[in-house]
Amino acid sequence: MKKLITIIALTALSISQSLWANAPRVSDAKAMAQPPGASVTAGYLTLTNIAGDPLVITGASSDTIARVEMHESVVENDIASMKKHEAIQIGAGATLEFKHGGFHLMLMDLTEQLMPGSTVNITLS
Amino acid sequence: MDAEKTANTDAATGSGKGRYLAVALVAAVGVAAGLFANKAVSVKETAPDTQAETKQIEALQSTLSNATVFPSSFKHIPEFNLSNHLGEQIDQSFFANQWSMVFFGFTHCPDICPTTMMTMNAVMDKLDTNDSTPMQVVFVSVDPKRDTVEVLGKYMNWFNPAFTGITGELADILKFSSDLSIVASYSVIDGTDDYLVDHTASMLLVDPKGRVRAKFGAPHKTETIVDDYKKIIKEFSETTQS
Repeated sequence: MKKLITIIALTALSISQSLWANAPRVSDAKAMAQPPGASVTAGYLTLTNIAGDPLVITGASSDTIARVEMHESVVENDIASMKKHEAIQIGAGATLEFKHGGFHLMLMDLTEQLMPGSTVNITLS
Repeated sequence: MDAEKTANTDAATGSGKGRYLAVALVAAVGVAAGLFANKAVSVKETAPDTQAETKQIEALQSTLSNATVFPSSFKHIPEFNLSNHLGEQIDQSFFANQWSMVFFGFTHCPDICPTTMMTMNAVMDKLDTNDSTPMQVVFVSVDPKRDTVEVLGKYMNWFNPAFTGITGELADILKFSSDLSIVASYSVIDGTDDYLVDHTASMLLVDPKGRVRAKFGAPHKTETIVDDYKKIIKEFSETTQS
């Protein structure tokens, strides 16, 4: 059983950091290693807006993953569901966590299994 | 590829019977789910043994941090014929003589289901090392069209080969789920053939006589599950010997 937990170690997720001044800080970027059979998995990261103005994330893309969307896991009245977000705003100086059970990047239509230790590039826009 | 995709879509969300059946059953279980969500255990009248049980449950409930306890008469695992992730047919006797933690989900669920799987891995590790009453962990797919035996087999093996995955015909899965007041509904992702499944987030704790004795609400936390589980089985152990 312990071995399995090791296998499910999170895959590294490398988020392209833009060069503009006041670019948001990205940390703890990782993705769930993709269980066999599943064509989707989730990416997580922490995003801090160091600028003096609100930051709006309007999408995400990857050179190796067909579709990346911003989703939020929600449990309401004991029903687990996912909401897709077209845009997410982060206030000036605020931090937003993409994490288990909350906002996450939905990595979709994966053609190759994302294994522990592998790296994918994701660009937020 | 196209053909395969179409077939999947058809079967699971799209056309026809599969989808309408699902929607109808969701509506049908809505009322039951409402009752189920109600935390208070309903207890009025009162054969003497029910009164004693009521007191026992109230006392136990006050010590729990997450789980909601149910009286022994609350719900039973229904009769069923489904498949496990190895392709073997199983029925209600699968739940006999052992405590089971049962949760509902689907393998194409990117966030909540894998997280719950990992949480249950951690729970089992803790129970293993603490010499507790054994529990079987059961994952019921509410997306059986995509979660074939083969897909589910790989998925269970990836997380923990000791866990049991259950799949089968959609109608049978929905009957099993709705008998336990579990809700599942299906929504197509815009602009795709893909779909998501909304489902009950709670896990059900089933006793060795197949009775639902508690539910564990989300978010699922390892420590809370372990602590509440131990208290519940300790309290109920005398009444569940077979």
